[in-house]
Order: sequence, then C-alpha cells, then structure tokens
Amino acid sequence: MPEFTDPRIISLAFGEIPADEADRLRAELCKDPAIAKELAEFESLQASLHLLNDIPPSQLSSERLRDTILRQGLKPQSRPWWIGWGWAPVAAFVAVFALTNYKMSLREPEIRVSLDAISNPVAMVAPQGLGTGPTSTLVTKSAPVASKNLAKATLTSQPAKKRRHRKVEEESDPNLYAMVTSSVPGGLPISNDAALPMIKQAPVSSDQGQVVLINSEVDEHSGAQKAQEVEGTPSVPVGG
Amino acid sequence: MNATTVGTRELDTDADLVRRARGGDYAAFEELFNRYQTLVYRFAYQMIPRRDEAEDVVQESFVRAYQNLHRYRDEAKFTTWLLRITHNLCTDQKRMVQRRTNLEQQEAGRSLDWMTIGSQEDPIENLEQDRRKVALRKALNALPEHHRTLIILRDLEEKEYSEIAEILGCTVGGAKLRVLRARRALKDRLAPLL
Repeated sequence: MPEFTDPRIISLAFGEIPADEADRLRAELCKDPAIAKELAEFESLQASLHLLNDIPPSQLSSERLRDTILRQGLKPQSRPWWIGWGWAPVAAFVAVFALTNYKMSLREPEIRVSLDAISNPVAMVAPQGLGTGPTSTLVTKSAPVASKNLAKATLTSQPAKKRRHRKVEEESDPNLYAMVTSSVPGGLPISNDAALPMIKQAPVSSDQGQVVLINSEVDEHSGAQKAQEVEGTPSVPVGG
Repeated sequence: MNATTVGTRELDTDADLVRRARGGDYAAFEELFNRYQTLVYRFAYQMIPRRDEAEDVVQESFVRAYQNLHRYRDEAKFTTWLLRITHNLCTDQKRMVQRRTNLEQQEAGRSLDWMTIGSQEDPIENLEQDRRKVALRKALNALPEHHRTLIILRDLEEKEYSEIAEILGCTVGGAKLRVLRARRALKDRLAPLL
C-alpha cells in the first residue's frame, strides 16, 4: 500500500472528509482489498472509541475549590501581564544612553581645566605668523569669560583625532596657567572664531604681560609632534 | 442566532468573568468553575483514568488558573487556556502515577491491574462491550502520552484542530499530523481486537 494513501484512509474512517468527496474516495480505495481492510479496521476503531466516553461522575464542588484556594491564602494577581516585562524598554533605553555617552566620551577630549580655580588663565591664541606654532598668552583676571570662550572655541575648532590638550599648572605660582595644544600645519584653525577678538582685546597689565611662544615640530626619530618653547618666561612651564 | 454569534457571546462572557475575577470577584471565578468543571474533568479523567486523581487534577487546574489569571490573554478562549493548564498537570501527574503504580504492581504481583483501568463495573452492560472497552482503555493508557493526548482531544473530546494546536502549542498542520500518527499507533495496539 502506498504511504501517501494512509492519511486519506484515516481521515475517511474518522469522518474528516466531506461527504461527496468521501464517497468518491471510498469507491477508489476499496478497489484494493488490503486498503479496504485497513479502512474497515480504522472505522471499527473510531466506533469503539465512543465506548470510552462513559465517564463516572465527579464529586467536584465549588465549595471544595473555594476551601482549597482559601487554605492556600491565594489572591489573584491583578497586575497586567506586561508589567513583568516593563523593565525591558527602560533597560534598553539606559543601555543605549550609556553606550552613546561612552562613544561620545571617546570622541570628545576630557577637559580637566577648572577655570574657577584659575586666577590668571592662559589660553591659546592664533599664531602670530604663518607656519609658526600656536602662541599662549597670559590672560588676566579681568577677562575670565573671554578665556572660557576661547578654551571652548579651541577645542571645537580642531579635528577630533588630532586634538591633544595638556593642562599645565604652575605649582609655585598659581596665578599662572598655560595650556598647550599641538598645532596643525598652518597654525590653529581658529582664526575665524568669534571668541578670538575678545581675547585679543582683553586688557593686559604691563607687569603681567608674559608671553610664551611655542613652536611645534616633528621629531626626526619618532615622527611625533613635539613642542618647543621659542620665547617666553621662566615662570610659565610648557609641556608638549 | 447562529453558532458564531453564540460563540462570540460566550467568549465575551468568559472574558467578562475573567475580568471580574481578576478584580477580586471570587463569585465570577466560581461561575467559570461551574461552567467548565465537567469539561476539564472529562479531559483529566481520560488522561488519568482514576476518578480521585482526575478530580485532584481538576481542582489544581482551577487553583492554578486562579493564581495566574493575570497571565491569561483575552484573545484566546478561556477553555483552551484552561485545558492547556490541565494538560500540563496531567502530564506531570501521569509520570508520578506511573512510577507509583509500577511499584504497587511489583509489590502485589500484578494483581492490581484494575487500578489502571478506572471504569466502573456495570453488570448490565454487555460483556463483549465491556471487554472491548477494557481493551480500548488499556490500549489508550499504554500509548505514549503525546499520542494519548491527541486521541483524547480529537476523538473523545472532539476538539477542533485549531484548538488542539493552541492547547499543545503547535501549528494546525502539526496537530493534524500528530493526530494521524496517534490513531495509527492506537490501531496497531488494538489490531488483534479489531
């Protein structure tokens, strides 16, 4: 007997084939005596199964169920089904937020300059000549806002991968502070920054007008950028 | 009123009772129990043909349903969800009973076979019919649990394939295929009788 006819025999015996199609199928299948015998066996099985529907009555009662439920001290939990998963979107949002912040922290340099603690901040200004490195200028207390603007403008105006910032603090003289930034060829690209003129216009007293000129060049052995102080004052330490 | 309308109204009523029961209205849950205890008991008895154990399973099914009403989703029929709970309990119970029965039979030298039959003796019934019935019950009980479940759901409780699929967590096509296999397995066991 072919394997594919088996499901049709069973379906036919259990009355799962529409009547018109069942007659046609029965006539077709009964041509083979083996199939006809199998069909008869399945029909006998189907008829016999009804004997199993005789089930003794139960002694269940709602009082018995109530006693069981009360004995266990159960209360139906009224919270919605989705409360159990309510933490999932929150956790996903926190994860995305943390990841984004982490990536941003990798891109943005960490500014560890505490301008409030600086009495005489020194900020980078534009190069004084083409091809020369950046110049650090001492800014007096009278222009703290201008110096903050400049620090911000300097950081955002440079390419992200080439930005390097160093914080140099003068321990012996807290009034002096210098920040050295590696230069890019052609000088710092901050000449168009609006904050820059404010620095230049900041009043500088004659006794505090110390200027540090820094020239950056490439080390012959390592190829790394290095800063060299060209002109300045011994009380302003410069790193690079 | 056609069957669909009746069915929809029944479904709505079940959903309403469930909603009230969720809110702490125990009378609503009792109404669900009164409405479906026979259905669940019939299924449990076919799965575990001992009345006391079947009753325990029914009771436990409703207790678990009450505990987990918040998990019931209204798009499924309440009876489908309830039978699914009962099916899981029957599977667990059957394993436990099987182990215990084997031990009892070993100790009693196979003289306690009547315990696994579960049918009540009726002197009026035809002896031949009784014999067939006993043989059928034995053959059904001897089937693997997954086959027995399909025979009970489809051929004894006459559930639709879609509902069987929901209860067992499979596709409708999968349910049809499983039913065919189960019937073939049962027929193989009953071949001498048939």
